[in-house]
Amino acid sequence: MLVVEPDVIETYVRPGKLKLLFRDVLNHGERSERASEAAACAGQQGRFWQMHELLFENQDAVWSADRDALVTLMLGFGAQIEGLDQAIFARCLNDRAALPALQAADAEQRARGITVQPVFEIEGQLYYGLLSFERLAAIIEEALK
Amino acid sequence: MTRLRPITLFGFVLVLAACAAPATLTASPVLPTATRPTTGEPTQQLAPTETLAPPSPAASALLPTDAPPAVETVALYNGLSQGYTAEGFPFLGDPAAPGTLIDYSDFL
Repeated sequence: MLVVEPDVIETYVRPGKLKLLFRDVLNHGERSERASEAAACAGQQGRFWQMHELLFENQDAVWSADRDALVTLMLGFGAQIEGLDQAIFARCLNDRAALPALQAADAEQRARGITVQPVFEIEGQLYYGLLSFERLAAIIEEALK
Repeated sequence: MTRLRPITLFGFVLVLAACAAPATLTASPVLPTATRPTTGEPTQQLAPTETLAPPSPAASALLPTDAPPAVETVALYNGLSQGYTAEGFPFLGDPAAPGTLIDYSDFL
């Protein structure tokens, strides 16, 4: 989604035609969980999408971090987000309070066959895999009629 | 003249080695390399007693040098509403927008 997201935002979200909703898929063990928890913890302070962007932009760093460095990395991402209370963010990561809801949502999605990413859903219809902006736009336009 | 036995000499060398200054550990700026895991690998959990401190300058140093600055990250979302649905999923844009696009994705 990251590739086409700016176009989707500028073409459909900013003009108020669409709202973009994100649902986490946990396909890669602790790395996925820690990343999704970091986004959820930033979201508690109204900064989910900023963390969402940082995580996608720094996927390589998340992949290459070992277990201990992974946690430190998330804290480092948090430090880049302006206005994010770092102590609250760190406490949220430590408590892992967001994890059960993330795991429950992932399990519900898996029961519906959503085991790969990305998957898009619009008006109840699922689309699997990467889509070009042109293809996605055609689907959106049809759904908005 | 007293002749030292080999075993005595060996012991002397061991004592000298033990008294030598300890090696200084230098933090490596290079992140450890991990093998890219496959989908469905068992999930590892951190010990629940682990305590996280707010990020230190060292934490930021772990980031890639080409990591985007915060100001660029925010720009894409400037002026857009952020919130959570009643079910607890984050959304971007007008909550009353006529359409909803759901992105199911892993951050990896």
